[in-house]
Amino acid sequence: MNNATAYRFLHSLRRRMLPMVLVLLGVAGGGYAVLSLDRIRITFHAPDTEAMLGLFSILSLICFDYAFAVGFRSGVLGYSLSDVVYCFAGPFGKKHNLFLSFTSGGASALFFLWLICANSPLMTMWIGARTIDVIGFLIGAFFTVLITFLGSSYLSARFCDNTKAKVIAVVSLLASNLILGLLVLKDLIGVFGSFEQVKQQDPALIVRLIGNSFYTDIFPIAGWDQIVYKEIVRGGIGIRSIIVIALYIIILLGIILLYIRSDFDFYEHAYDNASRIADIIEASKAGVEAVNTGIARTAKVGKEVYKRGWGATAFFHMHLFENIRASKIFFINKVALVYRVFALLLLLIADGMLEEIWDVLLVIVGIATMLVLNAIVFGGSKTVLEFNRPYIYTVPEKSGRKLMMCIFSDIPEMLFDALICLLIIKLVAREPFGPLAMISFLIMMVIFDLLSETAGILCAKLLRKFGKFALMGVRYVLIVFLIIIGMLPAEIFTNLVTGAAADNIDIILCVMIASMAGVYFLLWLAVLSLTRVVFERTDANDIL
Amino acid sequence: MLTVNNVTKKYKNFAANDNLSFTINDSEIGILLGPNGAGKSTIIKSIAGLLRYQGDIEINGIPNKALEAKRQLGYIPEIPALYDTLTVEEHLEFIRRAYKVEDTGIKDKLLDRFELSDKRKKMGKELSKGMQQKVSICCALMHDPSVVIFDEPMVGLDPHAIKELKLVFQELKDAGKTVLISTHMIDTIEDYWDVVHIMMHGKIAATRHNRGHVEGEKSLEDLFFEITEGHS
Repeated sequence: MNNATAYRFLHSLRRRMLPMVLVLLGVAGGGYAVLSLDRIRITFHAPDTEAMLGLFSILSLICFDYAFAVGFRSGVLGYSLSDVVYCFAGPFGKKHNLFLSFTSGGASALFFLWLICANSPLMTMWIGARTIDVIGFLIGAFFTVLITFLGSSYLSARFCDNTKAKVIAVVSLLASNLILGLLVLKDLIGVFGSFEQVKQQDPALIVRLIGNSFYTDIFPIAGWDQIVYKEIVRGGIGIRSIIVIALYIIILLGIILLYIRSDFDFYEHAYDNASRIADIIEASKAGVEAVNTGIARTAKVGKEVYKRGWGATAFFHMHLFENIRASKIFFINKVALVYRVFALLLLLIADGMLEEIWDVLLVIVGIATMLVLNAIVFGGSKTVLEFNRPYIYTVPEKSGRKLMMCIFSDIPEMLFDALICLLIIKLVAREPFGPLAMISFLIMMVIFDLLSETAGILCAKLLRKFGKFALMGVRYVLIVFLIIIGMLPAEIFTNLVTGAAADNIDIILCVMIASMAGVYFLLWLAVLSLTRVVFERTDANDIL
Repeated sequence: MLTVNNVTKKYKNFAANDNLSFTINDSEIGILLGPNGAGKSTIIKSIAGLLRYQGDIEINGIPNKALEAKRQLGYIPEIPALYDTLTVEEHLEFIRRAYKVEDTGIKDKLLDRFELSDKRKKMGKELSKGMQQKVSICCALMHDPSVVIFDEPMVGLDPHAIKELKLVFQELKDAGKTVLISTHMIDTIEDYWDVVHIMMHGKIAATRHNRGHVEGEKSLEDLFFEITEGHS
């Protein structure tokens, strides 16, 4: 039986050579980034061992939350339809089938560790983290991710029928994070006198105090894993490390025992989940980013009424209505919001590395970060699924109008997202990001999102038959290329006004961002026209 | 009236439709009959304007990709493609608005007819395949098209829905509409058809007009197996 599973697994790997090569290159890239840290000579801050240990603890907390979310969301329910057909209905035991789904969920849980590896040079430049330090952190964080993922996966399968238990688990996680945040903030205010004073401090100092706080250290699982490395760095393993190692072994053995002795029936829920996963796979073939595919899952029929639109505008109102049904806060792209947290973290690190006079550079780094993230969120938007249905082709309206109406239905999401991006950049860059720059930034982001979405649709129409990896790969290259094109004229215009308004950084930034908006607008019109032509002159998707 | 004139559809070097020509007149039910892979769905999709092709297709004398032709065409795809989060009723409302059809109560009539009234608040993702197919049919009939094309419409339907659908075919015919149905299920077409085109390898291998029982003429089933098994 295990041979059959191994055969299926290896055979499926052989059929996915390109994704496998990309994954291996990614892993090798992450590994190389960590191993080359000791050769980095650029530093923005004096090496600070305590700040580094604090940062490790904070990252460990984020790993814990992420692994919990991944395990709880899909975990042991992450089966494909073929798993259901061949393993659930086939001659395989429940325990065999229970462990089967770890291959996909486990990999997702480890993704965050890879992300940290890939960005580890930033830690070196900021606070002097060495290769050995990052490896020490990774060992601890790996066990945190492993225990948390296995634990939350078990909870999700064990209580798959019990909504109340699941809500309690999620609320407990959120509450523990909130309580930790409040306790640490109370300590910081105690040290510096007021919240305003806390905000004025060097980020490295704040990170040092948060990460090494008593409350962080005692936070279950996530707080413990860095204790061992902290004690090694500070001069030898003490009793706390021994207790932590013992606790980890006991918890891990306990979870394995739970799995071995488990006798709950998760097949029905796994089957239900498999249909959703099949939808996600189908959507990803059309070019929808996996991050955008969970939205329809939560939709429930409420009191909302669909009663607007006529001709092509029916598409706009129908999509807007779908978004409203999926969430009362339909203008919030939840996945984009998670990305913003990551962007905020990156910008805070950059803020810590740079002196105050470089805040203008932070604005530019912030804009670039937001653009790249939006290329993922809106470039792979769910609008491309419209091409999997016949109505966009058969409804007697001009194709360009129908297409535009579908794209426009995402404008509320784009506007809200642009507002969040604006607040993040303002929080980090402060003074130089003035009112004029902020207004032009809002407009520029919405136009860029429209451009990303349209370019994503164009790629989906042209490249679907080459497979999702080719589609997504080309799409990102194209959008990054478009980002760069938008920045080139911005530099020229900025140089032109710098002489005339050298003392007004708000005007300079406004001109720079507005010229980007102008270029992106022209590019959007060009891509929209091209998409309309492609839409009219190519075959409909083969799924129809 | 539906006219297909010298239509060829190629995928690289493979001709899914090879110089197809046929006409289905008003008040006629035409059947495209053939085994899997004969090219039935390809020509149906070409008529619906989903594919590029060489040749001409006209709906009531208008090229099929013109907006006026789209207004007069109803298309039921082989695989129902509904919106996950729209209810049955909202699907029909969306189509009514998209096709600019005044609200004359046709929505309720169609829902009653296909026994979907009690499912009107169910979302697309909550429906079985058969139910989705019924919604898909209702959507195609919503704007009262004069030419209606069905791609494998019986697949997934329960016996009652099949019976109802056959009545719909007859009613459409009686109302002077043009109906084209693609199917590989020879036993489901019985005798409501006017003309059958048997397709094989992208071509029309035989055409039979319904003249009732003619002494000495092969049955449709015998003709079908003679062509399809003879080719294999």
